[in-house]
Amino acid sequence: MKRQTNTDLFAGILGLVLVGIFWYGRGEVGHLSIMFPNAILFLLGVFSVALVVKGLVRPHRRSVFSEGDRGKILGTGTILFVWVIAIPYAGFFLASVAGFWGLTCYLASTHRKVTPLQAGKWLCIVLAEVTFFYMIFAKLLYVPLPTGLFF
Amino acid sequence: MELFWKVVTELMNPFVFFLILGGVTSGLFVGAMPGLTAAMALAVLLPFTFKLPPLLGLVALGAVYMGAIYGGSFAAILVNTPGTPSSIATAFEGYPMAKDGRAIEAISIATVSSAVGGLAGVFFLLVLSPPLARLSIQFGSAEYFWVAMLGLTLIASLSPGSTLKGFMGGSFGMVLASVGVAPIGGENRFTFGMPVLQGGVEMIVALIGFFVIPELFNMAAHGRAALVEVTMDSRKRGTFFSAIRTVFSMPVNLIRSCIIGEIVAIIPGAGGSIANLVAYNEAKRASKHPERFGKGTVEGLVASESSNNVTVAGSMVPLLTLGIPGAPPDAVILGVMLMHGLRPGMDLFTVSGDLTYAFIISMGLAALFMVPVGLLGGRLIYRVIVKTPHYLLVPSIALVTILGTYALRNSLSDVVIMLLLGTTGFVLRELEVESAPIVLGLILGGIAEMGFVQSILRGTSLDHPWMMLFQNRLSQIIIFMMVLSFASPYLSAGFRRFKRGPEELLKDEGDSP
Repeated sequence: MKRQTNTDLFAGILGLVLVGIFWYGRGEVGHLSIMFPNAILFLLGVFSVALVVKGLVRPHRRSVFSEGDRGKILGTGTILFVWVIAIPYAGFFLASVAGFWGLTCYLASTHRKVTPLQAGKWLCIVLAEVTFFYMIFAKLLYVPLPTGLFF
Repeated sequence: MELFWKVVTELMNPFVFFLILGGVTSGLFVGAMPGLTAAMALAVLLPFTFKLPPLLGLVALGAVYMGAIYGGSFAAILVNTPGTPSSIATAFEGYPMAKDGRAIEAISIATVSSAVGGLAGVFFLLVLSPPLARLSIQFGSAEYFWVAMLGLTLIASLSPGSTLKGFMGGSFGMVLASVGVAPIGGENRFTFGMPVLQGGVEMIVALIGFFVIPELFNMAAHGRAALVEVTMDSRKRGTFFSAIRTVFSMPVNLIRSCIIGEIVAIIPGAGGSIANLVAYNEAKRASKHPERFGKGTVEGLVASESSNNVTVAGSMVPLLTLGIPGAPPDAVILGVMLMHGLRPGMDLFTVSGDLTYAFIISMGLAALFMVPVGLLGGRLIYRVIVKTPHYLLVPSIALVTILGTYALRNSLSDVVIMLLLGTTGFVLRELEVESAPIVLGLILGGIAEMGFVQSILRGTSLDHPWMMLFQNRLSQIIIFMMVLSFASPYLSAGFRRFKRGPEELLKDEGDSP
């Protein structure tokens, strides 16, 4: 049997953590600027406390992060963050080709054995797709895409 | 009569038809890509209209706008990712339909509903412009605040599980909306010492994050299975005529959604992103089977798609009469009008009447063109998405998402914020705090803050400045609607219990786990 989580309690605690973070980040500002955020933070706190109370009194339970391959979620998230962080250093084109190709090989690897020939074929597809979007955005629409090592 | 023939002559130009066809097609493809919005499509096309005469430029932009709002439904139906904010509610019903092997049927129904909505919007614009313009003038700061609060009550009922979690998500969205420079005080809030946050959390960035990234994680986690669930249905069920029969078999829902779309459209700043959620909610509330909503019901899809396309022409009411853009894409159209020396106001309907009416009618033609373009293009997009292996589809969507987010403000920080919000949204979704209330809170937050602070400032001469929020008759009506909206699910549940009698209730309680 899958382990059940008290989602009311966890959602309420997460809400309180968010209230704490934003309360700390209000800064030294005047009444006019903080009047509304204070009211909304108060409301968020009230709803979060209510969820915590509900979680303790009459909790709703379900299994979380139980569907699909959890490792794939973590791996995909990591590759996406590395892809974006690499853009200022490697440039948009190079980082995107590497990120796209890496993610393709990673996701395919759980279903099939990735041979060098297949990886090479995918690299061609990736190069064509990234070039297509790069040309549209950089050359046609004049969006200044970040440059890095080469262009 | 003379004006009528002038308008007909203007529209008989074959180039007008070519521009409408091209505009609807390009708008459809842009709208179908998650992250690329109608406002972005119009902004991208803007330089190409500089060389065109005023009417042709406006016709092209109107067609792109119509196509993009409709195109948002494709991604919503096929990959559970609203292509534009106007298609959030479309995903609630369209995606379950697609998973149930009814993707083509969902697309056909969305196409017919969008066309009907587009035509209804043009009708409203032509016939009801003057009285609706007068109503929009009545909206002051307090009314804006209460409209946003009315949205908050909708947030709670939109949340599929717990109402409390819906409120929590909506409040979190409103907190996110307060990040950056205060609209009235002008000071920085919640920037945590990072200058990049001074500009606030861009709504589109949050929308992409909350809707696209969790879906990418889901597709990655489920691999091939995430897409195999969307299977091809029979052509018979998804034919144009079958879709027409289905859509027109629910006239009350259709008319109600179109009217809601128009009412929301004339409130400046609201637009399709709110209209589709309000219309969906009302369809659910009025339905004999509200429990079927969220599982692939046609009523919800018709409500969402008809209402959001009404707002395309509908939001032109405050634009053409007062010069106030009803939605972000309207701002682009206003810019083109001003560039060609066309000033909003009565002159637009008298001195430049032929041009204005020709532009309005061209939007109706664009709504009609959506049917063939959508039905043919829909099948094409459907086949491309279904036949692409997930290990190529996930990175492809990621690439377009990253590019679309970056191109909004040429900011890599926006891309990082999008990824962070998306990851947060994924965790919250697992805890049953849905993304829709968070995004709606983000949209309403700015409107609510402006209304709230301005009302308090206006009330400084009173003993209790906050009383300013309650003094206006229109405010009181909206407050009444809000209370009614909040209480009606409980009232109707109580009424049902009362009607069924105590014995059946006891039996139900005995059956329940």
